[in-house]
Amino acid sequence: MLARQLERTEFHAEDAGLSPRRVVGIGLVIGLITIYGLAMVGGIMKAAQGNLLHLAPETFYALLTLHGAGMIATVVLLTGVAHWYFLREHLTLRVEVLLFAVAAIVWGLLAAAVAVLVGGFAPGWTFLYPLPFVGATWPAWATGLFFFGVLFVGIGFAIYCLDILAGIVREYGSLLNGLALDTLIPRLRRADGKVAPPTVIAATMVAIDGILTVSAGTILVIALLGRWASPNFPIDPLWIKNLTYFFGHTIANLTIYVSAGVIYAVLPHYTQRPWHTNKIYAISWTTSLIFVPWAWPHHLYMDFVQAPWLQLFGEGSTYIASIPATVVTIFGALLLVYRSPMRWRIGSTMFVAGLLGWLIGGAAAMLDATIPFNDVLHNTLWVPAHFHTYLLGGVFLFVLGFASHFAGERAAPGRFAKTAEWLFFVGLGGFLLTFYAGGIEGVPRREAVQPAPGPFLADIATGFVVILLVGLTGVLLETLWRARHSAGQGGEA
Amino acid sequence: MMTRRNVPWLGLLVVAMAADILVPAALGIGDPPLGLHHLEHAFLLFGGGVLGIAYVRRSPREWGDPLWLFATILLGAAGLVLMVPELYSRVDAYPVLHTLLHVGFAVVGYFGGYAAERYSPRSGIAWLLMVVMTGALTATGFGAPPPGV
Ligand code: HEM
Ligand SMILES: [Cu+2]
Repeated sequence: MLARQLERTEFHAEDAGLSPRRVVGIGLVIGLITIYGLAMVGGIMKAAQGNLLHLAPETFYALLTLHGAGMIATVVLLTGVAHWYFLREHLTLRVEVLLFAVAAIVWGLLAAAVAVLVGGFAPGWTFLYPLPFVGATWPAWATGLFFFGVLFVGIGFAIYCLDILAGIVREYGSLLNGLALDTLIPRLRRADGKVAPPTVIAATMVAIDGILTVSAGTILVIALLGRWASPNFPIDPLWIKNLTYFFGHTIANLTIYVSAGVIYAVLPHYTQRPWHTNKIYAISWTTSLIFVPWAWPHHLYMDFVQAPWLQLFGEGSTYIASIPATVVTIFGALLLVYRSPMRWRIGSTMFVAGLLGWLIGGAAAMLDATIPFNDVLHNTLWVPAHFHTYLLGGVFLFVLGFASHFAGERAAPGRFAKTAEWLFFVGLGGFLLTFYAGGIEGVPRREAVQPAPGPFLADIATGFVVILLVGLTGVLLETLWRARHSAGQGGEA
Repeated sequence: MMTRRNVPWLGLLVVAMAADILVPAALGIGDPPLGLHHLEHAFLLFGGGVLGIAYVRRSPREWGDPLWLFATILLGAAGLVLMVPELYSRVDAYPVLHTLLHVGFAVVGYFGGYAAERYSPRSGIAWLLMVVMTGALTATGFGAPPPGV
């Protein structure tokens, strides 16, 4: 395995003059710096919702737009490069393609940042029609630029997915084999007995659904650009709202499935046990593949004009899509960790904590996707509470864990690293709790000025965000320090 | 591979596409409703794609240049731009242009399938996936005004 991997690495390095490790490193560093900046923006928003800082509402909504769009694009970038790094152990992937994908996403992010920070674009990251056009407080160029930014992010992700699909077919013969369906269907079995490992199964699911998602996103953006270029361009608000959430919900959701692929690849490094494929993985991931693209209607429960069958189908799909894959991953991880000679490093701690975040956030999400609960929780802080639990407290932890693994961590963390980690987790937990508290109290989300007890909770949250950021700074410094001191060792755990 | 077995099917596909493009124009039949019209375009993209893929599969090929991947994405966007109703409501008045536009869909489809398949053996399926998705979603209301307007 290692020899094969090295062979491929050399081939590509010569081919393009850039080593895969280098390109992954570039994506990782750009992504982490961006997330750090956007987390500070998040803190500023909390301070402004409280009594600690005053922001004009237009500024608040611009920052909200930047934070949402930027975070989603950045985690797509970060989880993508992390998974790619491990997929190279199984597939022949091209570093040039990854480089292009990273560049496209970064350009998209920059375009969106200019549209928001210079132009003042502020309809929220979901740019729900007609908000970008009606009553805009920003110039038209900012609207167009932002849409082009979204298009670039989409193109980057599409290219990434296409290369992975091609790689899977080359290596395993078909996409069905990529899903390990040969464990169920004897006819598909390969003569050489090779079966896709879980990390490849995850890649197959993500790449297929990724292409569907980006196709939807492109149609959406072209319709919006049509409206932008000509005010007469007809748009049916219900149609475009469905497309918006098809794209927005699914792309954000997919980052969790990419993360699962990373976990399948990385945890064995710490527990020193392989993670095997079996029928259950094939079934669960194929189920997710089919149902993830149907979960979006849970964003439209309040739209009484939406067809009732879509509402119910969306509710059912939400459950079916997420439960099996979540359960097999978390259960599989527990089996792997249980009584293993686990090496507790920053990386492994982040991964295990992230699984917890995924589980709690997922449960909170299920609650919200259940129609009677949604009647109460819809558009309250419960919503950002649950998705911050699995994005910030899940996906982002996996990214930090990967960064730590990538940087190389032979020794157990010292006192500095442990303190930083604790501060980070305490800040994180407190921040999330205040979010949930706001949701239970019915404080609305996406408001610059909130009713009580919003501002009070926001003040407490801001304190926790400061603690979180201090801890995060420490964790990142530690990772950087380790990267410098293990340069060239290839990041083994 | 394009086997002999497939040739009749491909022939049938060509006939169906040609009929779809030519018959309405020849008989002077107007456009179908918008959603169906999008599906018609997607069918032409898809059919073209199948032909492009089959063409590449005539002979076994090595792994191609990454530029084929970029070409695939660009052609995908081109197909969508051709679907913008503003565009074809303008050419609608000229039956010849409209027929040419439909030929354009088949051609974009062909090159999309060709490019995707050139990138790597059997990666052309990704093109078909994109086209099916595009057809399904545009047919639900791309370029349509809200009901009752
Ligand atoms: C320290 C880290 C973070 C802080 C302090 C923070 C803070 C916030 C705040 C205050 C809001 C507005 C909530 C509201 O009142 O509606 C928000 C929204 C949001 N955040 Fe974060 N966040 C952080 C990390 C993240 C991460 C890691 C992600 C994704 C990976 C993320 C994604 C989002 C999204 C998508 C929204 C929704 C924007 C909208 O409603 O339009 N955040 N965040
Ligand atoms: Cu037409």
